[in-house]
Formats: sequence, structure tokens, C-alpha cells
Amino acid sequence: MITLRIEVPYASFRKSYARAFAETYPLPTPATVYGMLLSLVGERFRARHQGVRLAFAFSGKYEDDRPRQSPFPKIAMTVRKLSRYKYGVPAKQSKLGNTLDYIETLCDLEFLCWVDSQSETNNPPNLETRITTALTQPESVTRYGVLSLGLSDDAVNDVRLVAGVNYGCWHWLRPHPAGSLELPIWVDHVGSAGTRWQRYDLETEPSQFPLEPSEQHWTLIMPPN
Amino acid sequence: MGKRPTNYQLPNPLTYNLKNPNYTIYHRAALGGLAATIQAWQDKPGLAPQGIRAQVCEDAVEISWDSSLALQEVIQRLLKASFLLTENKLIDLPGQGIPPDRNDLRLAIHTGLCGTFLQHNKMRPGEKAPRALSVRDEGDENASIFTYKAVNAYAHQTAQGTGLLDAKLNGELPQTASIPQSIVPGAMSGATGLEGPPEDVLLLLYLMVGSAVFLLRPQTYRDKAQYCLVVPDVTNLKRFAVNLREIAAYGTNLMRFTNTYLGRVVGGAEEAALRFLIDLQAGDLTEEFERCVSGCLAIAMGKVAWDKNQVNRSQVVRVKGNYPEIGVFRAAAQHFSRARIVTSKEGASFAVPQSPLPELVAANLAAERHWCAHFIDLCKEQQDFTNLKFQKGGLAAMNKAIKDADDQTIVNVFHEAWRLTMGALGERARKDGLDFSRLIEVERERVRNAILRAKTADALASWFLRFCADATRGASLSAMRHDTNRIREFIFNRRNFERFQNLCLFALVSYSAEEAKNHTQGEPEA
Repeated sequence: MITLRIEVPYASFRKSYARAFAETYPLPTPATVYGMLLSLVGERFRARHQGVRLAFAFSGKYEDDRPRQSPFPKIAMTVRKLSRYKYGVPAKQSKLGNTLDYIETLCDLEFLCWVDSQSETNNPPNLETRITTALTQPESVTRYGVLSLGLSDDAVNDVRLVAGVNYGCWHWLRPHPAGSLELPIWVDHVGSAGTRWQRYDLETEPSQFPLEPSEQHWTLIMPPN
Repeated sequence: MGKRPTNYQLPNPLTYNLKNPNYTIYHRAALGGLAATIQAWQDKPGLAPQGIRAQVCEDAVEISWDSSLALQEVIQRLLKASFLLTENKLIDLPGQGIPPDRNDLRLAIHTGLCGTFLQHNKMRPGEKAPRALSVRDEGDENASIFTYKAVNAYAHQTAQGTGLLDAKLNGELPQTASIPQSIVPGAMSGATGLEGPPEDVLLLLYLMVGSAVFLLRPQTYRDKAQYCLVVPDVTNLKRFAVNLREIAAYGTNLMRFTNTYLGRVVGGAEEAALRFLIDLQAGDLTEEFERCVSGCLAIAMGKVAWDKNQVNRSQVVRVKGNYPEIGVFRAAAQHFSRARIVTSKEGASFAVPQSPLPELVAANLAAERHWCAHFIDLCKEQQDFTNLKFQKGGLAAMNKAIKDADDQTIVNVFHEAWRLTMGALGERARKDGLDFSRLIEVERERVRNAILRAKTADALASWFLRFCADATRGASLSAMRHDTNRIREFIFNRRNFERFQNLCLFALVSYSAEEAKNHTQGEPEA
């Protein structure tokens, strides 16, 4: 198991049923974080590391140690130009070009992500090993583009390995069958029949140190059958 | 679109479980709508589909059918019993339990559905000329005429656009079905439309039943929003089914906010959501932990500047089931719940909200702001401020409902100072033979300007202390004496500046002579 600390200044995680008005999930989704980790290690095949388990904790303080109003990142709403091909009337894209739409954006994201490759089903090297290599010997990894979380303009500010979390103020994201958050754990980008969600709760009280995920905090990344 | 693979086997019995991890809030609301529809079939067995049995428990719905029926036939029968039309060609959803003679409420829902789920003409073919319907509000002698578009049929009756009832499939179901905009408003297709398993798409058809639609007439912002869709996050199907049908039912002694045409006309999406939640939970007030919903999603829809063809989603707000100052909203909604009707020269009627206050408070609560935030916006223009003075009953009720001790203290101190100021003015009017009302009017305007012009926390705090000192002619106010430390900490904290300013303005317009009688006697009301 490895622990990553990830900082992203802004990002948008469009909800699965949102077309007009790009509303965002209130937190980075496990499916998107998994995609970002694949990009980090230069993997293009999405199911390559199926069976990996992820756990998350979100920061309750800003970088300068001021407490956040809530562990949920603040949401900004802006108007941007978006492709009609993807979310509007595709036939109008060539004639009219991109169209405006409201888009929600999460601001100032900072979270910890634990990666556990014990139950990965494919051959080694596993995701844990590849991430460690990518961060300690970046010259040995072949990848392309700026590392982003979600949309390609939502660049990641920092990904680093941390050992033993004994600082800060962190709130666990806990899978719960009746949780108030529904986040996709696998996204079907062609249609949505294969998209899979899971319900979560973000704990309101920060956790005690040392921070280590228990069995109840893990999310299994597995494509639908 | 390519040919769909067929021969999908729907399990018999088909069980929908509320705790299915793959369900979104839309699925859970739709499941609530399905549960309410099944409840309606049980109440009126004549409505129930032939050859199909259904039952509801707290967290699941089970539907089973005669194995001799083809799957498409099962779906057709379910839809035929769930999505009806009245003789007036208004949409009739048995799951919502609207009595036959409640055409006013049905009209509001019909108009809302035609502007959201069924906004495209092809989804609801009907008559070209609008029909008129007379609506009479409770206690109103004159009926108002509202127009609507009568429909001959609508998409949900035939699962239009989903592919579920495609004639080419010969009674079988496709492997995946489409989710068009008529099922989830705003879900435009793009290059690859939304899809889901047939049973999930069948379930989503009932989103229309489980959600509430409102007509939006915003006064404070978002002028273009026209409709609001409230999608509840259902946690208990059985209770939700009963409570949803209770909203429109007769014989309940509880006050309802959304059971009339005018009750469905609101200023903002957050107001719509809170009204619906309060109505849904009206019977559950004593059972705090057994509520049927945990919150809801309020989706405002309207025209945007870059798309004149359709009604787009323009705001999505998550609203919780409860807030510490929900009482303030409830008081505002109770006093300003009935929209007023404006009649045009041609005789057509339009409903507009009575006051912007419920909209403001609801928006603040949903955004986790102080309940009184942005009250200053309602006081900046003299005309708006004058209008507020005519809403004293509601404002006084809101004042009584405040729970926060700091807010209560500031308002009480202000009221006491204002009462003494009025007493002094009354004395002067009697002595000099002046018009008391005019004196009060001038003084109130002077105070309003002083509060509005204070640009810093220090300036506002020193004005407030001077105002209190002037009122008592140097002595201290009794309310101030009791809570000296609390007041000092509050007014000299710069972070409280906007809240303090809003509270002062609220106190200025919410002063009620009725309350003041408890403290003093013989002073005329301003």
C-alpha cells in the first residue's frame, strides 16, 4: 500500500446524467482518480489494473493551516464554451461550433489517496509499483500530456508519495449503502449503461492520527461484467 | 443508430431495491414515484394493470406478472395504468393522488411538466389553440382564468424515445434502452446518448411521478428561470408513497404549501425545494429519525441567452432536509405562501409570488449562508423598502422564529431603541402639534440611510451605539444591560459586519407595535 498526497487548484467532475448545465460531483470520483493514476504511469488500457483498491481522505484545512468551512471543496459556477458534439446537438457542431454552457468547478482540492494493489488480477508490475517508479524515476516512464484530474485543462498541481500521515486535518470518504454521496467507480464513456456508482459519506469529524485506511474505507476498482 | 441486440430477459419478479449502489438520486426519486403509483393501484383496484402484481415495502418494490405475457406487453400495461390524461386533456398521474376536482393543482403540474420533462412538442402532441381553465383560490371570491396546452398523449405513455416498446422487437426487450430528455430533463443526447439497462430505464419513467414541479417567478435574480424540478432523495418508499399522496389530499389539518395552483408558484428553486420538503415531512414532525427523504435536488430550468429553442437547466442546488433556522423560512412561507394574481388587459392571468422574502431566506439556507444575508438588497431601493413595510405580519413572525441567540439579541435591542425613539417622537408630535406618522416616516428613512451608508464594521457599531444612546437619552437599554458582553463581541467583530447590517435593516422593518405592547403602552404604531 502506498499513500499519495494530491493537490489540484480546480477541477470539474461532470455528473453522469448532466448534459445541459455541467453540474459537478462534490468530490473527485474514484473512477476519475483511477484514470489520473493510469495517466501518471502512462497506461492507456483502462482495465490494466482492475482489482486495485483506493481509499480517500479530504483535507479540512487550507495550506496555511486555516480551517476550511467544510471538507467539501467550494463550487464555482462559470460560463464556458463546450463541444456540441459531446453534450449538445452533434449535427450543429460543424456549422455553429462550440456552444456556451454553465459549468460548475470545484476549487482548491487537496486529498490523500491510498493505493492497494494486493487484489489486482493482471500480471505485474502492479499499479503501486508503477506509481512509485513514476514519481521516483520519472525519466523511466513514457507518458504524454500534462497530468490532469478529469478535464484536460484541470491540471494537477502536485502528486507526491507520503509515508505515515501524522499531520493536518483529514476527513475519510467512507463507502456506505445509504450514504448521501453517489460517486461513479467505473464510467462507461459510450452510452452510460456500463457506468457503476457507489454511495459514500464524507465523515464530518476529522480522523485521528496516524491515518491509515481500515477495511471499510476501500473502494474496489472493477469494470462491470 | 445501429440495430439493437434483443432478447433481454427481465427477471420475474422484478425487484427494485432502494439501496442498490448503482442508483442515483434520480433512480431513488423514480422508485418513490413507482411506489406511490402502486399505492394508488391498491387504493383504487380498478386502475391496476391486469395480470400484474406489485407490492411496496420500506426499501423495495417488487413487480411480478403472468409468465404468459410478453415483456413489452407487461411494460405497456404498467405504463397505461400509471400515466393518464383527464377529460380536459391534462396530465394525470395517479401516484400523486390529486383528487378529480383539484384542477387548479393539476393545471400547475401539467404546465410544469410540459415545460420540463415534455418540453418538446413531439413529446406531447396536442391541440394548437390553448384551452382556458378557471382557477379559484381558497377564500377568493373571483375565479381567475389560466390558459394551458391540452395534450392528446405524452411520451411516458409509450416510453417514447427509449426503444423499450420498439415494434420491431416483437414483444422482446433490447439489451440497453435510451434515456431521452423526456425522462431526465436536461439529458441531451450528444454524439452518444445516455443509456441504461431496460429495467432501470423503465424505472426512470416514474421520475416524473416522484418529483415535484413548480412555476418559477424569480424576483431577486435569475429572471430567465421559468420552472423548477424538485427531485427528492427518498429513504423510505412506503412512507414517501403515503406522504406524496397526502399533499393533495383533503381532510388533513396540517397547513400545506404546495397543494394549490398558487402554492406551486415560487420565487426560487431553493424555496420550491424547502416547500416540498416541509409538505412531504408534515406528518413526520414528531418522528425525527424516520423521515421519508434525506434532502432533495432542486433544478431550475429556463431560457439561456445562447439557446432560444429549449428550456435548459440553469441552476442545480442540493437542499438538505433540515436547517437550524428552518423556522424562519417556515414563518415566511406561511405568511407569504399565496402568490398574487395579475390580470393582463386581454384577461389572461399570471401568478407572481407575494413577497421575495421566502425566496431570499431559502436561498440563504440552502447555500449555508446566514438566513438574513442579502436582506440589504431588498432595502436599497426606496420602493422595495416601502413594500417591505406592508409585510410586517410576516416579518414579525419571522422574527419570533429566530433561534440564534446573537440574532435575537441584536434585533431585540434595536426594537427597544426604536420603540423609545418612537415614544420620543410621539411626545414631540403631541407637544408641537405635528403629524406623528410623518415624523416616523422621516426618522425611519434617516435610520435606513444611516445603516446603508455605513461602510465598515466600526462605523456601523458606533452608529448603533449612538442610536441606542439617543433613544434612551444617555441611559442604557434593558436588553443591552442583560447581554452586554454578547453585544459587544458581536458588533465589534469585523467578520459580522454584513450580518449586523442585514439584521439592523431586518429589525427596522420587522418592528411590530403588537409586540411592543408587551413592553410599553400608549405609543401609536408607525
